[in-house]
Amino acid sequence: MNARILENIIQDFKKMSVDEYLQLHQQALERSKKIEETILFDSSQDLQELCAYSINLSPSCFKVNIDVLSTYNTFVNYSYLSYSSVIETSFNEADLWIKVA
Amino acid sequence: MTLVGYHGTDKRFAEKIKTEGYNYSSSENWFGKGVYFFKDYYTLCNGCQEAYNWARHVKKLTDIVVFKSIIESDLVLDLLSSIEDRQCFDKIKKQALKKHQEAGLGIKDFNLNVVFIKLEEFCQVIIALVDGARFEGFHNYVVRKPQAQVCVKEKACIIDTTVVNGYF
Repeated sequence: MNARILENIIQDFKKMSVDEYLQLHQQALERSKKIEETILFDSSQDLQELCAYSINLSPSCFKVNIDVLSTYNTFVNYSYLSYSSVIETSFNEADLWIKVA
Repeated sequence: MTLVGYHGTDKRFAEKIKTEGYNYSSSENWFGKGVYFFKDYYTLCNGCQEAYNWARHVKKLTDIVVFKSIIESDLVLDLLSSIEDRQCFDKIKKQALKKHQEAGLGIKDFNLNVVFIKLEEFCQVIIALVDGARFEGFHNYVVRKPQAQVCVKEKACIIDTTVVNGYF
């Protein structure tokens, strides 16, 4: 990393207002939270057990292997656990990310 | 700087990578949105093996394919093997921590992602030593599982990609 880049970033932090820092801090926390709340399901049984656990997290980020996706859909439709809404889905390599509110 | 990175996936997505190139991962990873690789680092870690292990044991994939890519960039932050870069990182961290305290927050609440988020604006490639034992849920501070990981923020830095054949 060259000295100019280093100086730019240090100056950015120096000039940053408290409000701007707090905003950055919040962004950093959200990134950590998303990593911690990511749950990898690799069987329908895992899915059922972990959904029961994760329903308390709001919002939560569920990582569902494609192989269990059909089970997931069946499970959500069939299960006594009901999600209020599915707010976003996006395809990312081997996984489907589903955020539930 | 030119380096070699290994990426594990499965057959379905390998075909897509061959024809369309890599996808960026989601922004929730340690260095945000990017293409992530493992690399060799002397006897400490074997990039190809780590890429396979990640696909098999973390992502739970079957029919695994490992790609070997050549990565080239001048905007590299090497937190693994460059003492200078580590010192730069520490200086930025120190400044960020000062701002954190100015904001009235305690040191225990400091989150290193504030530094990573700022670095994202300036680096194309970042190399770091990551503790692979974090997935085991019972890792300790003495015996860890080192992984040399590479995050490529700019796909144009990936200049060549081939499948690793006959390794597994």
